[in-house]
Amino acid sequence: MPPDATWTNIFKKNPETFDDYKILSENVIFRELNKRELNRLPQIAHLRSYRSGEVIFQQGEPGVGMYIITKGRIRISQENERGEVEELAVLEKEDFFGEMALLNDLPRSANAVAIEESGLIGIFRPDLFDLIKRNPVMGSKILLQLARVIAERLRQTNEALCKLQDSANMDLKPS
Amino acid sequence: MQETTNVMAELNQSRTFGWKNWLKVGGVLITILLVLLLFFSIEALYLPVLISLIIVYLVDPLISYLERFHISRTVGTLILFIIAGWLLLWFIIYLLPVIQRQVNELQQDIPRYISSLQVNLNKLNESYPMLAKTMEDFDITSRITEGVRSIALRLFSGSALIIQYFITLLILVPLFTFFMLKDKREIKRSLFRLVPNRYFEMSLNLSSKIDAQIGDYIRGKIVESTIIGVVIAVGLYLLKIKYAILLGVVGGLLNLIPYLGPVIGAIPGLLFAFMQKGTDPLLGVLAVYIVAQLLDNIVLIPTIVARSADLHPILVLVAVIVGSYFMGILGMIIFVPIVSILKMIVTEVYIGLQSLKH
Repeated sequence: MPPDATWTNIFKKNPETFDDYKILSENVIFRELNKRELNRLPQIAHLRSYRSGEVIFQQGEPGVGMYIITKGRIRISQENERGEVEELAVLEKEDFFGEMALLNDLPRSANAVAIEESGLIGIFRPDLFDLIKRNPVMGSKILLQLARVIAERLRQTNEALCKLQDSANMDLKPS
Repeated sequence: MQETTNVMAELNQSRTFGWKNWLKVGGVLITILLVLLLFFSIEALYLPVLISLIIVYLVDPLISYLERFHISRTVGTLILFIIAGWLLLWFIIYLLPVIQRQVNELQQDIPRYISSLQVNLNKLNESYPMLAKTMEDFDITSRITEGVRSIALRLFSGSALIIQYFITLLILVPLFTFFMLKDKREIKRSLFRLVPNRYFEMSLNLSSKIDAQIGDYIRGKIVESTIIGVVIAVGLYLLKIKYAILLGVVGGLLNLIPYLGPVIGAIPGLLFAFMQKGTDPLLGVLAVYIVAQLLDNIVLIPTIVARSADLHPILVLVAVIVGSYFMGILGMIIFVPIVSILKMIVTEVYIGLQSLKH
């Protein structure tokens, strides 16, 4: 099964040893920031720890922000109409998820659960909007990169959908 | 398969908000309530903190604006304090003696005004015999004069207490304000570290909504009340009513009380005008207060206090009444934003619980 473009980290670099906030500088959303702006990022970042099995957020909850994994592994899953849970991705250190909640408070489309003891950096919408007010240039850079990430995910999803449609059409064609 | 079952078990456990969780939430709420009760029972503590919070909400946008020019919060706060210090010095050197002189004059004039009040009330009774009968039946003349005498006595005998409070506030308020402004973000982040993961996102979201609404409410009300105070002072000054500035300040401050404030605020103005000049200026004085209210309702509220407390008028009135019961005039002012905060908390918790069900 091809990796889910919505949830897997399609921008992942080779893992190295980073301390918690240094991971921010390597994240694709903050890639355009200069050194001074990167030093300001911890002001809007929240370090959180989750024990094994703890839920980060649930499908249907209003979304508030994104998370970057500094330690551990997170399972992303989705409940279908029959109530069955389907695993979409298992994310590791430096992966990120939930970034669409930085733009609006629509319900989360999936569940995020810690598989083992995990550390996350949370970046949330109220803090981002506050940053945009105080530092519009830095805020614009983050929003632009965020838009690029979402656009890339959309493109990959469209491609996957087209392939699916093509193979479905081929199956339906009379032989 | 085992992993999927585990995931479902984790999610189902997270979704059911059982009695243990209700107990925890209840315990936390009761603790917060007790801390707040203790806090509000210590006047020497809650008053400077409350004033500092109001100043923080008022000037925080300025500090944030200075951050756009890469001026740190510490430096921005210091700049603001230097400006405020100059303004305070100007107030102490130039304005305070004027206010002090007016208060002293008022203190000396009160006995004369009370006699003048009795004379003017008697003249009113002579002009309107029906009114005279009603006033006699309910002993209104002596009630009014005694009421004015008692308020005057409380106000001026309390002036020593006010000076003592003023000195305490002059030391504590700048101290609290400085650190709250400079470390506002760090204080919030430290508090959020204490919030369990399960409630973290909801708390963060709620906190930012409360911040935005209360900030807009405080800034809007202060600007609104200042404008109303100036309009009243100018109007009464043009009508040659003595102590127009003091009456403007009182009118502006009482305008902070929703719905009832403008009515209560007009009483001192009408009373002073009556005591000084009888019935002649009353219509003019009433017109001043009506114009101030029209300006407030037609121009100021829609433009400045646009995002008000977002409460139904009945809820606002109940908040004002309950506030007056617990904390007098101060309660009438602060209970409206408090009820607004409680409404937001209940709404967010309800939305959070509803999303868990689905």
